Amino acid sequence: MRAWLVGDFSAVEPRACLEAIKVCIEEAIERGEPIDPMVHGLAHRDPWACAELLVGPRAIAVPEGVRAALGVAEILEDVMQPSGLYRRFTELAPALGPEILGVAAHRHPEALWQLRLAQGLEPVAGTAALAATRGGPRFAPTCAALASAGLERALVGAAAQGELEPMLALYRAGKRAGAVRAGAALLDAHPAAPLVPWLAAVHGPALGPLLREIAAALRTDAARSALRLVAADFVTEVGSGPSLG
Amino acid sequence: MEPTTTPDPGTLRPPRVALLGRGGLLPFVGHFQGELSLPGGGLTLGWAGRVTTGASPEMGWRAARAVQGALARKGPIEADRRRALSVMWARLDAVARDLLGPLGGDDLVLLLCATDEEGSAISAVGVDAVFGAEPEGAVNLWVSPPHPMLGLAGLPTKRPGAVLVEVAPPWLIGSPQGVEDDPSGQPVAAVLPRCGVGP
Repeated sequence: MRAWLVGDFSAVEPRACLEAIKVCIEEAIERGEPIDPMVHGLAHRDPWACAELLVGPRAIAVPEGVRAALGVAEILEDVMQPSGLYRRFTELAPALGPEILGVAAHRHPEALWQLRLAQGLEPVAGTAALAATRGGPRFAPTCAALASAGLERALVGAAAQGELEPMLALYRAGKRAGAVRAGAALLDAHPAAPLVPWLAAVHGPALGPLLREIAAALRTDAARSALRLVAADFVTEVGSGPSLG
Repeated sequence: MEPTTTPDPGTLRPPRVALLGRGGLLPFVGHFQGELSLPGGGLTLGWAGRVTTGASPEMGWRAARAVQGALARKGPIEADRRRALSVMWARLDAVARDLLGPLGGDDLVLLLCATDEEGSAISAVGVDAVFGAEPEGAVNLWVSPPHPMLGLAGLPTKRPGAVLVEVAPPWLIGSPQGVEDDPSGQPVAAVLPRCGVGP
């Protein structure tokens, strides 16, 4: 048993002594001792046995167990569907919702099941997925997934932090009104953002109507001035009608 | 009775000009499009083009604005359609090549159309094919290779020739070199968004 506490299960066949391992984990929790080494060792020795004890029907339903299981989520995903795994975590330890979602969003930011899970756990669903991927190559696909799933609020929030991709993702997903809101949020917070060149790259050169919609949604004078400076000549040149106001 | 060679001015409709995008996530980097017409009618100019293949959106935007500005800033032209096209090509001489991206304008694609009471004159660089369409109709191949109007991309070193027609299709859609999209037979409403033309 002492060996188990430090994660050494080399002398046993874990599936043959699941009950004893469960008792060992529960007692360690009661004593306030860390169970991460034990869970880590068990997951590497026998992922199925680890899943049985920590997320199965007779799992140790305490936050300490779920927190330790989150530390070996990558291994547990080999023996369980990720969608079911993280949903089960939330059933076992509802109080750990944000923590569970953080791991799920980090590992599966673009997965629809993760975004659905987020809808029950986050005030603004999709925020964790965007935070987990911001600055990396998975940010754009994550924005695209959120746009397809209709999680516009999180995308508008990310746009307000200076990101162009949320607006582009919403536009590409055919969510024009959302793209307009994201573009306005971006410019209100970051008037110097290169919104117009990027919008032209996805929409095409006849930008007048779209820019006027964005202009109408702006809240700050700085953003209005910036948009007028960048776009007004072009809009006039292509004969798209009234100025940007 | 001799067949008429001059269309009825009452039925003249200046064609609108568009250019197919590249597809992908950023299909319209470096694209530009415009129209100019004299107040009260007369000559109408329309164009669509692109420059800076493969550049960033910011670089493409700067280059497209430079070309757009050169074509449009001096306003409409009081000339016949052939002379007007020549003036439009000459306006490009004023564009600083260092504004036109890494290739300095050697990747310029431009489809130009000038329409007066006699008909339309159409000229191009870097276009592989030109399609025509009615506003509610299907897109059809209008000029296909080999044809003198279809040729290499880039700022022309001599004025490109022009095709003269009495009545051009209401939409002229250029297919730039390297774009695989073949819109033949498709409704124009489905093709125009692929040219960046839409609401």
